[in-house]
Amino acid sequence: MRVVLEMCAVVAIGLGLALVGNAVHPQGLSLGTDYFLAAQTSAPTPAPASHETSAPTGEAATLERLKADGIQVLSHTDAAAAFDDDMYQQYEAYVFLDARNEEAYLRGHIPGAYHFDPYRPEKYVADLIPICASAQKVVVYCNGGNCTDSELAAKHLLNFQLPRELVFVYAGGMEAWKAAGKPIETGARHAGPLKGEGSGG
Amino acid sequence: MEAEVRTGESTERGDWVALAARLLLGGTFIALGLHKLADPIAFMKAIREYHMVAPERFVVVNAIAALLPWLEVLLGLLLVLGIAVRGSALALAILLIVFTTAIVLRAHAIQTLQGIAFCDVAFDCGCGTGVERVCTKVPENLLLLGLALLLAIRGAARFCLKPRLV
Repeated sequence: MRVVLEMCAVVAIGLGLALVGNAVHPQGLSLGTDYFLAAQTSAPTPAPASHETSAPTGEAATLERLKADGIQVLSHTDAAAAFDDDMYQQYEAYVFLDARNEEAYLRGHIPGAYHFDPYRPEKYVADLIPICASAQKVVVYCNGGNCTDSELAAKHLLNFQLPRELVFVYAGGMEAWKAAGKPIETGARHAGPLKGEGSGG
Repeated sequence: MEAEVRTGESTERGDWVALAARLLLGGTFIALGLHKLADPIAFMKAIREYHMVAPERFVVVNAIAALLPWLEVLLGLLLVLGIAVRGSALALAILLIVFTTAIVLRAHAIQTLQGIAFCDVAFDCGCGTGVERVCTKVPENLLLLGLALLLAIRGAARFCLKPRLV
């Protein structure tokens, strides 16, 4: 019994310290924030019966959810074409948004892409939304595969009143971009060197 | 006289074993907790993958992601320093039982979904160790659980700042 009391005391003190720690942590979480926009998420694909093994996974599941949520999908071919288009290269009429975390963004992103963390959207509203609103196309991407951050970012953009026809999710993401040998920019936007064949335009 | 010497040696050996268990278990949880604290969003996303909480109850997921890493670091520190050893070890034992159960259930769900062998299932459990095969992760957790239970039952007296709080 004594050890249980001791455990309860330790856990109670620990949780109290945890609340304080989370409050002062620069990346602390807000307990009341719906980070995944659960209220706007389409119903998850039900778990298959034990004999079913063909339930969609990875990118296929991502495409199904995007379709269910009414979010437009951009293929790799179309994403690459948008990148190579003069409208992007010369006029920046298209906007690419990288929805991965900052570390991944700095390690390498589509040249000219802005960083947009969908879990801290408030940081980007003032600067990014006006840029996106004046663009002809906004392409959001993350890693590809079963990465859902680009979906979340797209939903935030729609919540910020961007027209639905303006927003696209490049489902293949950085995995497809790198696999195709497309150029990659490291560091900050337009500040880092390019890697890969050509630089578009 | 000889029995007393042997008992004394046995107790001293037991103290060293307890110290080693405290350092291994405590050090592991300090490291894993700090790893989660470095990227709370990634940990929150990992928790969500278990689908154990309804999406609309996001406060629960947020609370776990926000508070659990701090608790892990604290419990680890208490063990390393030798403070409230039995209570801290018992708390870690309960956490390990919960974690391991969740991992096994998720592995079973993945096995069913993908039609692969149970031991072929590999995923990032959110523990701080990256993608691991379930048949590696579970034994690791069971080892840690064994250490935690050893300390919860036996406690520790030597090399401790304050082994008992209560």
